[in-house]
Amino acid sequence: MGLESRKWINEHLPELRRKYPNKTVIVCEGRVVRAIDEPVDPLQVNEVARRLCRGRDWSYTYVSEREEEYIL
Amino acid sequence: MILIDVEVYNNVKKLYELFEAIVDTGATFCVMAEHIARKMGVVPREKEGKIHLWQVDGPLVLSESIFRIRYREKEQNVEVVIVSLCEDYLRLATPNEICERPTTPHPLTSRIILGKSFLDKLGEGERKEILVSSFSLPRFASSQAEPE
Repeated sequence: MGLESRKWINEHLPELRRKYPNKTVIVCEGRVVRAIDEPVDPLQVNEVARRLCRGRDWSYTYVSEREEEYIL
Repeated sequence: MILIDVEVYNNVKKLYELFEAIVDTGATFCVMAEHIARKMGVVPREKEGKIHLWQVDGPLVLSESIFRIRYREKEQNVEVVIVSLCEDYLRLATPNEICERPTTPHPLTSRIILGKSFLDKLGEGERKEILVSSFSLPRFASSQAEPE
């Protein structure tokens, strides 16, 4: 499971917001391996990530530009 | 906001799928969008009927189901409520919608919410790690490293 990649995403979120605003990014071993232009459902993300990151630690996030302010 | 990864069993593909999850300490249940739950072959538990909850501006009546959720190799059966989202909320706002809704898509478009029904299944150490330490987002922090 993507524990290391999740940690990397959380630590780098400010940079991801600048570089990939409003994109879904897949992160594998400390780098972005795919940026998708729109929000996609997690099942589609899993299909892509299984191909790109086979056997390696990976994770994903939708990089919303200012999301924290939108959740009550 | 606290984001973690969990794996949720997909009954159709017969495998675990990784989900980004918002940990919500104020939520009683975990929550998944209906269009995703349907693709995963999750059947709402009809016998027990609907579950009645309060949200900010009124009551919310949802279906409930049990999901197999795996966190750090430990699998749990967790109560999850399934919420139907308006299809228009699954995308960014268009210019003429700007004053009527947040610009960003609904958070459940690409994530699930983990509430008390999940957190209660964890050991104290795991719960503490999630709530107190490394998974909280650095909202205004800056980091030296640049992603590719």
